[in-house]
Amino acid sequence: MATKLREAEVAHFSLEGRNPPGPRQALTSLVLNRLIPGGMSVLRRVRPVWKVPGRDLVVVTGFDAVQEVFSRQHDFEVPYEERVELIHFDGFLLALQDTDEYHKMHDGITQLFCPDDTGQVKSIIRDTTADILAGRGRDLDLIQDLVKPVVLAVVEQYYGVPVPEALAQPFFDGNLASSGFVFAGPRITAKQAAIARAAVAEVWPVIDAAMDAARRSPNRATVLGRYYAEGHQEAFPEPSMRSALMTMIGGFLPPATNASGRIMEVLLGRTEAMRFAVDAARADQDTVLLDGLLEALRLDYIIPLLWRRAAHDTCVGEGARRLTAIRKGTTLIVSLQSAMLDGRRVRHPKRFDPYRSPSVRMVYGHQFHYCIGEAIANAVLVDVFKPLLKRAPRRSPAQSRTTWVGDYPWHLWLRLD
Amino acid sequence: MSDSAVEHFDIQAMLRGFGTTWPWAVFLYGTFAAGNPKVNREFLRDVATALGRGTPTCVSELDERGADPDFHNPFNVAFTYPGLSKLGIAPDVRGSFAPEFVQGMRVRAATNSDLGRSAPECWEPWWRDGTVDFWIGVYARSSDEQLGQRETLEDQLQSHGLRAAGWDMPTVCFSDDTEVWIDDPERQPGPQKALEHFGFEDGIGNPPVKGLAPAGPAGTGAGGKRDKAGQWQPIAAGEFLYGHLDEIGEIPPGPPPGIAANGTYMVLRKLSQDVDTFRAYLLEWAEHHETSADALAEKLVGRQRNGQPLVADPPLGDRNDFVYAGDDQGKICPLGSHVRRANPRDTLNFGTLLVDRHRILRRGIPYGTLVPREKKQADVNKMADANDGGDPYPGQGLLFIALNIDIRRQFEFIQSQWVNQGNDLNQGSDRDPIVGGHRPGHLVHNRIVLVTDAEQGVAVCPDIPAFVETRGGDYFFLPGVRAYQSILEGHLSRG
Amino acid sequence: MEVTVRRFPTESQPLTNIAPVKRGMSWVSWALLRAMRSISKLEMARQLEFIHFARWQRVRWRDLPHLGPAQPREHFKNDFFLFATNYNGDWDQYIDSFARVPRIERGMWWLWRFSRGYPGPLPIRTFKDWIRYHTYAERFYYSAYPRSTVRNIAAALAVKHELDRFVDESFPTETTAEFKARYLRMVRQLAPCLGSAPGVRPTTAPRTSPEEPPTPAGAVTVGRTPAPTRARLLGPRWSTAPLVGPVLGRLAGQGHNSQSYLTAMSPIEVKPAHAVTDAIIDFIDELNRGRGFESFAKCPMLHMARILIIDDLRPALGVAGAGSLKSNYLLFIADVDGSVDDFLDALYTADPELVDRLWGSCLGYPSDRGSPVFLRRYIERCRLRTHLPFAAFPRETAREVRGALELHANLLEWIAWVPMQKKKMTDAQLKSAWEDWVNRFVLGGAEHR
Repeated sequence: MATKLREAEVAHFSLEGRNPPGPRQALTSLVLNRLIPGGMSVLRRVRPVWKVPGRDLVVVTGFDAVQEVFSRQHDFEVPYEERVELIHFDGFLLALQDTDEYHKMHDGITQLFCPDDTGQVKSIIRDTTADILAGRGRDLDLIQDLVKPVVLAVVEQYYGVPVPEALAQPFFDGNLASSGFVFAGPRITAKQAAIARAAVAEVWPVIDAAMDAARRSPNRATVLGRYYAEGHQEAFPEPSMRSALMTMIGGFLPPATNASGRIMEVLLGRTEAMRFAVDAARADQDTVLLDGLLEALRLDYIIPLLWRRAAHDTCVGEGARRLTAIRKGTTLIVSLQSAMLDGRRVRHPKRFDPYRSPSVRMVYGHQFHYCIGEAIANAVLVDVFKPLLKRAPRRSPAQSRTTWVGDYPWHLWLRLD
Repeated sequence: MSDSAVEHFDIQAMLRGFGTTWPWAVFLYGTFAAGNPKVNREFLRDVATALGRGTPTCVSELDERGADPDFHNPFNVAFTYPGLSKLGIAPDVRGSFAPEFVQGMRVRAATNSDLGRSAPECWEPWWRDGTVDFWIGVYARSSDEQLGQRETLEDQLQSHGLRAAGWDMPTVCFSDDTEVWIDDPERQPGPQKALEHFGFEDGIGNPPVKGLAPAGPAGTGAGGKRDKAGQWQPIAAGEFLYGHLDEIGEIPPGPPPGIAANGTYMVLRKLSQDVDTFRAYLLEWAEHHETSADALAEKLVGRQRNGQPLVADPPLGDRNDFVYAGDDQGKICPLGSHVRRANPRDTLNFGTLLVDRHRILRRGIPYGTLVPREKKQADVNKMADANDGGDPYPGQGLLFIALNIDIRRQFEFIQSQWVNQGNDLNQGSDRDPIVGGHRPGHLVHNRIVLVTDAEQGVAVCPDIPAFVETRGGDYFFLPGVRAYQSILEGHLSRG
Repeated sequence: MEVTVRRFPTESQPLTNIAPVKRGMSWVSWALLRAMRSISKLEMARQLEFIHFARWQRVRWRDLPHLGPAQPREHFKNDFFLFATNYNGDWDQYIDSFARVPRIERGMWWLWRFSRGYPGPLPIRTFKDWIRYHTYAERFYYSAYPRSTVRNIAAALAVKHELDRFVDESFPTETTAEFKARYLRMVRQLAPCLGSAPGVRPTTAPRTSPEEPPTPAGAVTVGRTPAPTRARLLGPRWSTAPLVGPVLGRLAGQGHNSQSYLTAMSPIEVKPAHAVTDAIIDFIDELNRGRGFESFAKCPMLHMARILIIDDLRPALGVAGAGSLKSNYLLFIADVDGSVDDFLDALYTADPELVDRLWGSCLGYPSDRGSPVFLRRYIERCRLRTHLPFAAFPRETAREVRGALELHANLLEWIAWVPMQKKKMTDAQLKSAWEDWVNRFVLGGAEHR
């Protein structure tokens, strides 16, 4: 009886558990992957900046307008403070406004997770991928068998946050869920809050444990180890480091998973895209391969909607022919996903064209809150996909449909050569 | 315009050219007295008298009397811009001359690629310091006559209190017994041929000028321009003489007719030739490309040593009567060869239309002794030096003279666009292998890429050294005879 | 006659000519331009072989941008004809050729005949005077291949295509004899193109002795995959090596290029004020001292660009009271691959300060600067349509051109090296040396991880 209680007490957070396959998930996928993008595509053709009548809400779907909103961070603030407070995640970089606090955090992160480390990151990814591919035979679940272990390996071996094997899945799920919560929109329900708290409870303890261990005996091969060994605590206190780690984990695991799955979906769905990617991989043309993968991501972006809030009375459309006035406090739904498909700016937007100007692929954001982990993300893409593509992946005949959990591709079975 | 419109009696004989009938010459580069135009004019008058001539020799005089054994000392006179000032020519008249002439060749060294060892700092002192106001060229039939003429001129200078800035004593080199072939005896030009110092017959490639055809059987106009029917036509007189229609159908603007009519600009450049280096380079690279040094030399020059064009097979009667049609890749006559660069004929698109306005009349004469094949320059020059009693600047080369109405459009254009650049001839930035300037620090050393029929189809001659260097020169104005008279009579002066 | 046209230290030179056109007849000019665009594609210009890019635009006085109430509207009694070209060689020869070649002379006559005061291409002197009178001086000029001419590029592209074909046709089981025959055929085929040295240095490392084969120094611009695994997608080949900067390094766009012509006329300030104009002129001096070349070089899609300050548009000779500009203008002309928007984004990313200091203080420029979208919107409002464009190589991107030029220089160096070894090299050695060379210079090898 006591054991059972203990087991119940220690029942871990499971994203899949909360979103089992079924009609509800099917509806979620339908809304997220079809209805919302479909609606956005109509809007962006008709009214790229649409003031929803009767509500303090503006929907921004056009490329130019999206860029404008993102670049005017003083006028259009990120509205995540309430949500991050709920999950005790003060100092989350993406939730900070353009303030000193932001810049300190930003500088701290770029100093600790520095560009020179890219080589180390890449070799971790390559080795992990090689081991997995060698050990798996012909069938492979892209997400659970490959991407998940790889990103966890980076978190452990590069960040210096080891995740005990028993806690790996909950940690992973908890990350995805808590990130999803932060970006989920202006209104918070009690249920959402409860889920988020449960999710984040899988993450903080792991980080805290890692920091404890590193404080005692730092491993210089990791970021956290170097943090302690080189005495960065004074300039960048531990609470900041804690937030930084959470930022770099929470901003890494979910998008990496989401993006990998969606990119593979695009490749599997378009013969020419897959052939391009396979050829680039086989020829070891990393830069070109990355272009192709990011192009695939543009076609099927990870998040349909992002949010901003007008900090004062202002307008959208500066320098354009049409100006839309916006009142202070208005919520803006900004669709990067829609923007990257905007035919006004993107030629043949539905076409897979890896040679496009990189400036239309805003997959890592635009201007102020541009992804701070771009280098790591690119490393995952190239060094996971390249060896995978060399084996000409196609859908597994046994399981030919991707399983979705929430917004995330969860199981994507491949058959390799 | 009919021939009679070009007045042969008013045009100085340089336009006809003295040729091989007058193989010796004395070139006096003189400095006028400053602030005393009268003395300068008197000097010029007295020189003419001392030489037994009334005025500078004109074309008709040379044509009619050139063969007459009693006709001696034909001479021509030309002035630089400072020379015109010192003759008292009024400033507004002077200012109406072409800007290139006003500036002088020294200032325009960059345009002509006179850089490095060809830069004005390295020129003979009178050219380097810009002290030359006038040129008097007297032509002789023998070296005794030549020496006599020099004495006459020296006397005149002394008696008028003027100085010579410098002298040249050029002489036509005849092939005769001197062997100039390098490794193929068959390539020796015939006897009695006028050679330049690399051993090639020279003076062939000149355009016929409308209205200035030589007396005698009518020329074919070969070497001029090609009309729409593909026939040769002479080049319009206005390309070489003020006051006449040019190739585009206009009378080029210039100074007032009183001074400009029938005058022209004379570009004089003293070019020294490094025969030793030329031969050594050819021997080295001919071996690489498994051909003879003489054959390679002909490729670089663009004519055979006997003056026949490379595209001519069988040999031509008129060695100027050829076009490059059929050789547009330059397999026979390389696109980068000297002769093809200097006059591309129909190599560019649209027949000769893009070439016609860039022609010059070449009236140069070599200086120095021919170097026989088995000797080096230093040996030959030491001997010559011992005989002549010391020319401080020994050597061999060419006193290059070009006559044209628009220095910028004609001489300088060829020099900067076709000789020291190769783009129009698909040579990129490669320069003329024979006379191309070699700028220090330029992109690559000069080279030529020859298209051949050999196995590899292409032969590259890299790192071509400078075979020719500029020793000096300037831009002169060669007035018409009547204009010359006006100058001497002070009509266009203020003083 | 001395021509006072500024010569830039590049092989190609700009010429910008804005001539007045009788207002009533400018629609005919427009129609003629459109007709020539569809019909002739300006073959004549191609045959002259010294024009890189050229454009003709009919600009109605109403088309001059009006960006807000602060800017007084311009009013002219005539429209304008803008002619902008990039040519090689001598200005006089360039203009001469217009008049000398009969068919071009006719074309010129038709194009400009409705310009006020146009004297016709002959007599040449008055034609040149007229051109000079309506020519406006460029203050800055950029070329993506400054040492190369149209002929250089033509030769380089011929070399590139032939080399690509040769590599495509290579197969592993080829015998030495077969290889040698194919190799010699290729070299002979390319021989006439090799003389046109492209004006770029070969990208080889210094060698200690002439016996050493040429090896690349640093990154190779052109690369491609080995033939058997090459993808045939939207473009048959792609470039691989990264260009400057992590974000911009990846534009290739081979095989499906379409070029765009940007003409942006931006009002700077209302006359007689001159402070902003002076500041811009000072900045342009800074661009000329090197910054401009660095920043524009980071836009891989840019072929050529020029900047002019126009403080007035000259009326026809002899015509008074036709009108005069009320503001100073900054005229920016660029020839780019792909879309103008892509170029503007790239320029902004490469040097946002350049954008700010050129256009930032101009009338009507948005106060927000934090994103290229504001530049794009602004330039869109300043754009003048190009009616008749000409490109010597319309299908090749700037990057392909540069790659081809480098390849050409490298190939020539290889060919010059081979005879040095000929006596000591067997056919098998030649084949292996060639394959080595191809791997290094053509395929670029595997990218650095």
